[in-house]
Amino acid sequence: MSKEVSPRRGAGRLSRKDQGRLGDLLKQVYEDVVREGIPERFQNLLNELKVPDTKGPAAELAQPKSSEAEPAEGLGNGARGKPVEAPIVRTAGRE
Amino acid sequence: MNTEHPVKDSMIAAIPSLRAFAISLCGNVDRADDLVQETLMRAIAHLSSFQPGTNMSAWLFTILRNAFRSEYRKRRREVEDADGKYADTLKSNPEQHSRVEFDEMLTALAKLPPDQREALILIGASGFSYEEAAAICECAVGTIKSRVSRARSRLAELLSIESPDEFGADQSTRAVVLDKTY
Repeated sequence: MSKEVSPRRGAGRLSRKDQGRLGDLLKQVYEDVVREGIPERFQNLLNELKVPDTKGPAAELAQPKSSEAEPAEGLGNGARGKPVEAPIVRTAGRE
Repeated sequence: MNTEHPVKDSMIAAIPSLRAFAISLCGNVDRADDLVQETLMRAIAHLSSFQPGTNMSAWLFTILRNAFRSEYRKRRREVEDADGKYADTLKSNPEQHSRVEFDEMLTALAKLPPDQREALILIGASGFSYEEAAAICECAVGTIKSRVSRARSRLAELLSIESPDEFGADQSTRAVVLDKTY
């Protein structure tokens, strides 16, 4: 398949400008959804399910510790997820 | 926010971006909301594996991504149609998303291979770092980088936003997108 690579640009690289335009569009669509907030359905769901609180104060959840990375445990059978490692600091996407 | 329920509160706070991730992944608002619901239920069922002090949002994204993957395996035939038959079934809520580019972006995203799609969204829209995205997608940081790069090139093609040279750039992106016909 002669898909992504256009000979003109070599290596299929987008110019910075195009990358920026693409990024803006993508974020725009994403933010459209984020701005819809939280549908009642999910508020109700979480109320019904009575989310148990784990140990640890709110501050810990809100603010990741910046100690060494320490792998979290797996998610168990339902979601066979590789643990997300701590510490995780949210950063704006680097372009 | 009710500070007596930090876990619940941080789950609720993550819902808007979980939905955005889900909609970008599966292209369909109803399916996305089912996916978010599934994610929340799995998260609550496995709450003991969440480590306080780590990023709740990244944890939930991991679960959602896995839930999508397992659903995707079931729907493989449907989703692997790169020619857009699957894309035609994409549905968004027209009242809330009246803009043409919303559907167009979802349609284009649906044409990307899922691993490229998720990488691009996590990096380009959700604001995760490459390291976080790699943890969520269970792959190496370098793999995320190359997936994002391939996804960008392909998406640019699909949306016709590649300018042949820098002179094309003063056309606004919106105009380019709106000019496209289905």
